[in-house]
Amino acid sequence: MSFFESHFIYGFFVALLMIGLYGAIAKVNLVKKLIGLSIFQTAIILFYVSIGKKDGADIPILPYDHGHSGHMLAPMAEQYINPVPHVLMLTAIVVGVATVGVALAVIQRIYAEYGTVEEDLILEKIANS
Amino acid sequence: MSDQLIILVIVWPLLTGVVTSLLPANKRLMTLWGSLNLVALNGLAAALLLRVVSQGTLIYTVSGWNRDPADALSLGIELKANIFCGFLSCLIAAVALVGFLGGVCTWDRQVGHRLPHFLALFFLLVAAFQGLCLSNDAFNLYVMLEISSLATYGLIAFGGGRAYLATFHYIVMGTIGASFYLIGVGYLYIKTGTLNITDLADSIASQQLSKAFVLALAFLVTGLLLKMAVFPLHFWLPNAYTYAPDATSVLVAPLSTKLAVFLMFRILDDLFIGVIPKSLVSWSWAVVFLASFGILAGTSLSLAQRDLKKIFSCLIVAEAGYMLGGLWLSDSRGTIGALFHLVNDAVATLALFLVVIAVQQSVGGRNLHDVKGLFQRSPLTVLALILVSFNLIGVPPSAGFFSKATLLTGAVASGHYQFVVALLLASLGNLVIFFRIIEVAYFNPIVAEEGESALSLDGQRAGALAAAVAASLYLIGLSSYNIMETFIKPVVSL
Amino acid sequence: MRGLAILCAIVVGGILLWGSTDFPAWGRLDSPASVNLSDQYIEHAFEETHVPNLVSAILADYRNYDTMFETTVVFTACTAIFLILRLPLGPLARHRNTTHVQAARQRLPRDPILEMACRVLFPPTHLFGLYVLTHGHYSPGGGFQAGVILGASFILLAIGFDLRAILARFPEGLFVPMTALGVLLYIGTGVLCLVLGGNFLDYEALRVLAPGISKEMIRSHGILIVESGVTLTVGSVIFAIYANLVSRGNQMEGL
Repeated sequence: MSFFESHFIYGFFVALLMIGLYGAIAKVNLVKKLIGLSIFQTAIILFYVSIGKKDGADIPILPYDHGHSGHMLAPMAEQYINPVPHVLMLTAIVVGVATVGVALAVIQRIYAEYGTVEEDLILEKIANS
Repeated sequence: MSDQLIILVIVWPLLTGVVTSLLPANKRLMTLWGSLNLVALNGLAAALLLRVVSQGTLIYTVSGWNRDPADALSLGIELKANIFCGFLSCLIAAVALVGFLGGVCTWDRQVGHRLPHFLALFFLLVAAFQGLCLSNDAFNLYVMLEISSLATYGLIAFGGGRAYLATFHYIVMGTIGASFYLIGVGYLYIKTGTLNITDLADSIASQQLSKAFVLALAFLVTGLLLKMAVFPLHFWLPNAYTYAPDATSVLVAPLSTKLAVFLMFRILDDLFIGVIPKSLVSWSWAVVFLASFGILAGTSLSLAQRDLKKIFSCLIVAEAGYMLGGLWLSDSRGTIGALFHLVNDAVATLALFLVVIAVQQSVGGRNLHDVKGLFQRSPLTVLALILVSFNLIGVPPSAGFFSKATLLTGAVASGHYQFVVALLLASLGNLVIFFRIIEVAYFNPIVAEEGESALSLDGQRAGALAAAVAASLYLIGLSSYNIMETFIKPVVSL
Repeated sequence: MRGLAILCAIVVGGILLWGSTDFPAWGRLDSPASVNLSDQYIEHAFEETHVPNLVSAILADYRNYDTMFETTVVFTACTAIFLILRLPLGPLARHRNTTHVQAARQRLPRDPILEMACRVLFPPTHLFGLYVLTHGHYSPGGGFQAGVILGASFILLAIGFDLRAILARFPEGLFVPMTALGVLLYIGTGVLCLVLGGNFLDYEALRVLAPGISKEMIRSHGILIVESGVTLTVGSVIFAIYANLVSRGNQMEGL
């Protein structure tokens, strides 16, 4: 397998991360900034999940028939993908959602305060007041 | 049983926070409830410190997944309290208690019906700070970092007005910072397969330092620089702290950036133990240069302000530079100085923001021209201001003198002369900043107007509290040798 | 600003790409991440906890301390949103449960098909949420997923009818304590373990209360208890956030 074939997946994560970072910094509209931030976080989630991949392995849930056919076989490590990144990313997703929720609440208050969510207009209004 | 203290220090404020959100918005009840719980927390933290002092570093496995056999990787999440962690935990508890008591008088004006939610976040923030201080798991630190950030966003934003936009900037920068930290952890995980800091350090030490590790370090550090608000990445901080309600800033300002500094210390000293000075000397030059620049920039920013709270917020940016520089001097005295400065700066910032509350309560504004006649109305506030200013300028025997002296010896020994120059210039800058305030407060008396003679009792109380905190800086200064020898030197391994 | 952003993105992206050449090949069985800790979890998690879904086992047992704070994150966000958005209960709000439901019904155009569809969908959605919670040990699922489904079922009703209509049946006085109760259930389990002589959140300590159960099964049950707490919190928080965001904090009128 060539180097490109084995590593191109990391390129996706980097590309997504760049898009998100650009959006979070460059956009003037606060909601768009927030969308950029979400993309940025999603890129990291993609990266972590890609760490867990193992060739030819299944999702980390053991087959279980509720005890109808006696004991299960001991699982083999190479049969199942790494569950740890999935656990970590469940946490990261929740954190991301929480951040977006709080940020939306703040944006809503900003809109009530200034009547706009365009950052340059808001700064203008602050400078004038 | 004494092993359980370490988890209690975290869980106690957490439980208090959750329960507080259900209580009614009654000021007296809340004051009693909050202070009782914080006193209990102080007791627990002190007991933890005693336990660590008498029996050495405490490692605790949550959910009972102890390492079995002893050299295996840790399956569960570990908490770790070495002697400095225990000390820092006490400091957090003490700052929270004093900040809470200092903030009570602003509740009527700024919190109102939102008291239960405000206090719930307050306690959750304390729990997150304790968790940051005691966790030994790289990913758990990320979760703690995010809880502390989320609680801070809420606590700052409800100040209203310009606080909303400042909070939004904080959210963007804080999330990017935390995400950078998360990328760093991911880079370490992909190369080592573990998240426990002790295991990670072993694994890093046993492998060749390839570029993934260097990048992991770079991302961890950049993420924390954002959280720490070092100069070019600082712009979210002054506005966020200035427009935050007073009861919030008195907890957030002293501790938030300091814990980022502590995390950076953990990364340099626990995670990449022994790796930094060998292979990254060129890096450390760059970071110390950044820190020196940040000190000067923070001080000059502060000189340009007229709002007392903003002046002090900009000083935090400068102080972050002191500690960052100290940590990266590649000299053990630099690290010791930085950690001692962390303690000193947390207490000094607490005193400064208590002064803001006192000023606000006694004269009803916090602009430089509002301070006029402060000495007549609240002499204790001016006393506190003078005491803190001596500390920040570095007059012996204040704690600031000893921390700066240690930092300076470290800088001279390792040849970072630009850091020395920045430190001395910043002291001069602080002199000007505080002289300006004290001059107005002391020499510009106001003509007492009719019927305005009633002194604000709240202002007096806050002033007395600020003066007491400021006086404690001199106690810390006088016992600086003991603090450095007992609490700081044993954990610095450089 | 745009130039700076492009520069930032390119610098960060370039550094990340450069660093990723040092990573092990994607999907390699012997990469460090897939060998060290991962194997121990895969090979032993089932015999130690009797939970076939390894993600649930790690999430709610090995790394349950993280998950506790994850639940706290949700609760913190909810409290922060209340702090930022929630307006004081005005004189109008007091009568919300009676008159305003009717008032809203009269004012807003009603759509019987939409309302009927939501009515029909609501119970199965709830049931599915509970299934995802309880079956999270054996299949993809767990506390967070179940909580989101439960929260979504309430949001569905709020969209189909009116925010007031749903708030009259599921009022703030109910769902706000529920957010805290879920977290309390989680932390309380941890504290109970501590009181019974184990470490914090060490479910094995709970065997004192149920002596007949093996130490693996008690871990499995412990996971279910804390996951229920998570569901309670997440479900009510999702709805609380929705109710505050759509009504701009007055919880009177929304989508």
